[in-house]
Amino acid sequence: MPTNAVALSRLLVAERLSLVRRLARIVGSESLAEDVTQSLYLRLQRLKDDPPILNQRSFLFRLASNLAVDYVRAEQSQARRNAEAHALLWAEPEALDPERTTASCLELARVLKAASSLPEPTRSIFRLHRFEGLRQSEVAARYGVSVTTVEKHVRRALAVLRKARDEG
Amino acid sequence: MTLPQQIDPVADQAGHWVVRLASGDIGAAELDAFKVWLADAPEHRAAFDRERALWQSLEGSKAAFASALPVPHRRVRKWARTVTPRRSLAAAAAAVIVAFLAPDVAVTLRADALAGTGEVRTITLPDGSTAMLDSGAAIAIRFGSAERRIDLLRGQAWFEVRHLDPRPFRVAALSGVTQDVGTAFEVSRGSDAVTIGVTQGVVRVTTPEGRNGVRLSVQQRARYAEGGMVHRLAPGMANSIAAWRRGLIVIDERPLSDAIAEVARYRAGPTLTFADTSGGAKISGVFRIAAPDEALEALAQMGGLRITSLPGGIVILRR
Repeated sequence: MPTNAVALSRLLVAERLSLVRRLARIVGSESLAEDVTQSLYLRLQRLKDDPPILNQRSFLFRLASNLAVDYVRAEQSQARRNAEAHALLWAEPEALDPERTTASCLELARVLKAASSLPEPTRSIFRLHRFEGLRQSEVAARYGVSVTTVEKHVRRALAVLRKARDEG
Repeated sequence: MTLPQQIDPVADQAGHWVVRLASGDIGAAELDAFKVWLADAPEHRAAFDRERALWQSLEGSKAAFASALPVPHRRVRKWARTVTPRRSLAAAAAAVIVAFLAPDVAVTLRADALAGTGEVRTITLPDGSTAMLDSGAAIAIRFGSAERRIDLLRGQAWFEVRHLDPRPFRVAALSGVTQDVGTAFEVSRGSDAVTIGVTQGVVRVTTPEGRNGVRLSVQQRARYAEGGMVHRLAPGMANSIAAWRRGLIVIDERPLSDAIAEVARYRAGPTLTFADTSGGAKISGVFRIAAPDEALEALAQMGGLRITSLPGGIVILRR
């Protein structure tokens, strides 16, 4: 007899489309629903064989909606934190005096010159993150690397830019 | 002239917080820690304002960060990377493996790395790139000053290439070469043809027969035979390209005999089918590499076959 994990994985493959459609209604988009389906898949691989799961289809769909609801909750609190972080990062700084403004024009020129000489993939990763509005975790997913790696590239880029700014 | 820059720990901390605040992934405890830090000393506030101004000043200057490097379009599914393949079979099967690999002494002698039957092996290459070898695969590592070359001697392998190294990364199999232009891809060598699938980024596949070769990006696949041209194949699902590296055997709408052969590759013992399996329904399923016998049982059940297990890992499938 196939184990719970194998049987449910097979069921997942068979029911994938209807699962994704149902999850999309909870999480808001098909692409996010695909993500949840992937984590569902992972979860299934960890299932024990004891106790045996009798109604596999309803088990699968219940587990799927639980994961989707967890996902939405986590996303909502992350969104609140991101809004706060954004406000802290973008709050208007103190008024600048004209002398400093001139200085910062020169600084910016140096910074942008350094930017164009950033090595790859640091430059592309930084661009995606800073200018295309992708979270670090989203950049990581695109490149198939860890979030830590993305953060390392962002830090490296900023360190180069800072150095250029301070070198005047 | 200005004074040489001092290492300024407060500026570094401020830079760290800018990165974290911008990350989009900051945690609740971290956010609290930041507020404590910010309120802790006036110089923290000043340093933070300075680093924050740098971040803000970049607004509208995207062009300065432009590059020719292609950026992956598709999201790489997270689960594809978090399941580590199981290698537990390796030890138990070792004694049998030797016997079954023995005819292939030529390959074994040339190989720098081999994966045993039922084993998926992860190898870190000298430049930090990763190679994952599927059951029975063998590679020779030929890194020189001009190129990072891998000879795929047998089986299928998946590569994730580090880009900090300026030398091109190439995988040679039969008469053709696959060169990495982007990031991660699979090369699969059969007895007379080679199949390539891309999981991230871009590769270029060339054979002596084709002039410019074929450029493949995410999910695209191609195939060439010994001495032949490169042909594009229908794109695969990103999930099913090199599914074995996640410890999975993915069978998608294949005849029963193919499915059995696919699973048999992960078994240490011989798998014999004494039944006509043609004409049956196509089979789909996902199985664990670590449990090929369970997979066989499931396949037998789908195909209405009975299984007999004999000593020495021999399995016979019959009506």
